[in-house]
Amino acid sequence: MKDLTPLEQMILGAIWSLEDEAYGVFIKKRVAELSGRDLMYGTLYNALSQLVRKELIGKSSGEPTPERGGRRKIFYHLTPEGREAFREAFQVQRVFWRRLAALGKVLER
Amino acid sequence: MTRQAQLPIERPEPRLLPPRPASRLLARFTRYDEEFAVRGDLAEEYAERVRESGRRRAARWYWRQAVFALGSYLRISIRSGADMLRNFVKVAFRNMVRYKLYSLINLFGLAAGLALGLFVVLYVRYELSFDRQNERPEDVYRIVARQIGNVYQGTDWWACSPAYLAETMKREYPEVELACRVSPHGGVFRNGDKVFRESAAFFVDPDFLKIFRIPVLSGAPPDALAEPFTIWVTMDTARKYFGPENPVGKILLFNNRFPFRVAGLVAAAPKPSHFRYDFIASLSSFPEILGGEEGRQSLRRKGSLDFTTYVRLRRGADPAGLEARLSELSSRSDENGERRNRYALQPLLRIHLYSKFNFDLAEDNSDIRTVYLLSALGFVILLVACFNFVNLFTARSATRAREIGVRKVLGSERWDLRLQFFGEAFLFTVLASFSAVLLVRLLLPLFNTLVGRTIDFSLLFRPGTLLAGGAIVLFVAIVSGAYPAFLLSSWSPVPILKGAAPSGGGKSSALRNVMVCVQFAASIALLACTFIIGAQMKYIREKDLGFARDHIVTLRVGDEALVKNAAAFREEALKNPGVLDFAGSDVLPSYIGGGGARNQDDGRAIVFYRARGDERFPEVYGMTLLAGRKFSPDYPADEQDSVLINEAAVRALGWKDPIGRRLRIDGMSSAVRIIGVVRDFHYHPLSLPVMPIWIGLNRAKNNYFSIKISSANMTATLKHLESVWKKFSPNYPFDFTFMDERLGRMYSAEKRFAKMFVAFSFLAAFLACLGLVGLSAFTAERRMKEIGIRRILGASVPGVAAFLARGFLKWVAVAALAAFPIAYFASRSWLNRFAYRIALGWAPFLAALGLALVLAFVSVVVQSWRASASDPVRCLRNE
Repeated sequence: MKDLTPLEQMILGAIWSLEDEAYGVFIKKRVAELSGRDLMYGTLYNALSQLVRKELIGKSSGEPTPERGGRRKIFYHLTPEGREAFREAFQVQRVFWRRLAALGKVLER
Repeated sequence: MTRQAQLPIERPEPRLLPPRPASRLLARFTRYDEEFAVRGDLAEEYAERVRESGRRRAARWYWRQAVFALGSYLRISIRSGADMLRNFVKVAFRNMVRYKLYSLINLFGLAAGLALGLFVVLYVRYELSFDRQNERPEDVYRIVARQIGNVYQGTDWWACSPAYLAETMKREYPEVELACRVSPHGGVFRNGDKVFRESAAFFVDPDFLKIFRIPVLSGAPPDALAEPFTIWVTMDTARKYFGPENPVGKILLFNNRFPFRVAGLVAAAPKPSHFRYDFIASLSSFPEILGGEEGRQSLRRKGSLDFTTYVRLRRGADPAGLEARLSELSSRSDENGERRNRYALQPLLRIHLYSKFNFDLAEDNSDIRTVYLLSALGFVILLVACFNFVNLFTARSATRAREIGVRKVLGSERWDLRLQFFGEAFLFTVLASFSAVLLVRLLLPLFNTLVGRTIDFSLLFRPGTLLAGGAIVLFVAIVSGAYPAFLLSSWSPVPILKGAAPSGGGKSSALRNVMVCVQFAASIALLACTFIIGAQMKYIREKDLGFARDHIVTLRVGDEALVKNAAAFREEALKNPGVLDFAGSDVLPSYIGGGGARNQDDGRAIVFYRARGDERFPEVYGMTLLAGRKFSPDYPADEQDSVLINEAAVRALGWKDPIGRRLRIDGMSSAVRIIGVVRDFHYHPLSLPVMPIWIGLNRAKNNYFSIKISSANMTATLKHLESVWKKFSPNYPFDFTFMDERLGRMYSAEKRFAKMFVAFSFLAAFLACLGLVGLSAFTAERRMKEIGIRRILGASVPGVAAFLARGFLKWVAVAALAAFPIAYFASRSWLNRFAYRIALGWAPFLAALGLALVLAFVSVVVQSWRASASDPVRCLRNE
């Protein structure tokens, strides 16, 4: 299984949480909500294209809307592989933190 | 986008529209925009931001996002470009495998063209690299002299200079750092029973080794060269004379009289150099060798040009200024007419390619014109090979029209397709260039014999050559990729997918025909030139030179005792019935030196060449007497003052009846008497007109023997001659040369040139045919249905084949029209190098056209035949 970068994890998380609503603007906002990071759109597209290439997400196009200047939305969804990768990344992190805690180390703010 | 424009949508208020220039910028990257809905996302958030924080801030935000997005687009496209490339390579290989014949022709043709291109690059680089390995080549000069009026072999420039020059220059001109004299003196060397005649023994001043940076490998340092009778030998020479022994300290006997002490081993001349030597001997031994006082005298003569002089100037010295002062030097004295001499400095780096001097130390100087010509030929043939590639590539394009259509529909942009074709061309070229390098590796020995050089394969991997080779490969890839790239990518996909013929078909087939035309024009021109060169070479070989040249054994006599014993030798030699005649002379008809003479009436100077021999000399060489008489023992006075002259001399003198008249000859105290006139004979190469010559009688001092032998039993006769030689001159090797061999050597450069030309033009013709084979096979395939219908309607197989061939042959004929003038002017300018040449008729041109037509016909008809002979039903059924 390919390792996911933190950015990819965040984006996968955003898409997963947005369910049917996952298109550019919402993904960017959800990432900001979840992590406090304001992404550039360029960075976002870059990561999305990478995830598409790895077949972790798929895309479909929606209907055009007036506020978008009459342009379509592109919706993203997790593929089964994407879901699996995301779950695994999450699992790894959880185990990692739990084991750290078991060693008596707690990261303080 | 078009689809979207058709949708009825309400427009948002103008205030909320993003800044137009930025959005337009994004719109240009259509695919990016569409893939990610970039502008949609940005517009949506922009509107929100305008409401929240105002237009200005929102606009700034939009700009930043847009510019950054483009940056990241670049990264994405490079990544996906790699994907695309993989697909292209895959498709290219599939195509290659599917169309084996085309691919093979393409690859092989291109490889052959490239190999030739590489050969030319190698050759040019080699020719330009002569003497460059010298430490400071640009500071080294050779002194050349012009003896006004002393014309020899068409020029009065000489590559040699008087003996005193080197020393005087070094002493009097501060900018001369080093100076040396060189005399390549031939002779016989002996160590015990190992005796060889050598021609490359250099007698030099000590500075020679410094100027040319020639390292002494072992033994005494170069300064020991000042000592008389010391000699350095190269490794090969040492092995030849001493085997595995260490030669240092041993004695080599020169001309069986002068013992030279081997002072050390010297490296061979760095390659490529304009000279080559086997021995380096001290020049201080020269006076002794030349015979004591006489020799010393000759070294002091200022008027005679006896040595090759090289100088090295100090860094930054002005050669032009030095040259000006050199002429002062010659005008100072009038000894032996030195005032006639003009000296010039010839840069070392120009010796190999720009020398046209008499008595050049260098034996195989080239000519810059040959270098240019070869480069041009290489370029033309490379172009022919490129055209092949383009031709086949575009011809095949129709079969790929569908692929292009599909790619376009799937969203390939025009540049993607162009890139694909460039890439495919590049892939082909790279494959071809690997094969070309392999071909060069295999054929280099052949090429070396062709051009008479020893080019090393490793020269290919020098940075300069690699760069040039890389440039050629790139050039070929771009030239051959450009046309298909631009034509094919411009096709509109819809008709192609519907099965219509590609729109550019008509135009491109016209272009294909033009290219076939150019290819054949080049081939026909080259073939015509080849025939003309061949005819001239045959003319040279077979022309009646005015004297006999077959079955004459020539011997150079080094042994003074034998020179005096010539009469006895003659008697002994003639005992064998195979020996027909014997003559002694001081020169041979292949090598006759010049001298001046004056018209008795008006004192006008005439360039005369001179030869002296015994009574049999004119007989052995079969000279034809036109007036007067030949030498005869009946006239004892003949030896003092009688000469024969040739027709050219009579013409130059302007005398109606020259017999019995007297002629004053420079350097002789009394005038000579003309006793006979012989027919003109060509003692110079045919590039030069026959010059006036006088032949004197000389019974005693003849250094050359010419022996006419019968053509039967030659081996036995030669054995006999050898045994006689051994009897009279046991210390000298029996080194004989046939006269026709010596004469043939005069034309070695021309012969090489001719061979090279033949090879090149046949390669060009071959490549052109190769292209035609591919093209006609292709045409036949495309017109399969037409052929099927014609056959069903009753056309015969040959009829259809002829019909298909006609289209191509027409273009070959057109090509001939373009080729003839080019070939005519080119070959005329080449023929003008010869004073005696063939007349330029129609025959070689028609022969070239005929050959081209036959070649074209065969290559077309074979392919067409195959197509028309196939079952018409099968052709028509496949849909």
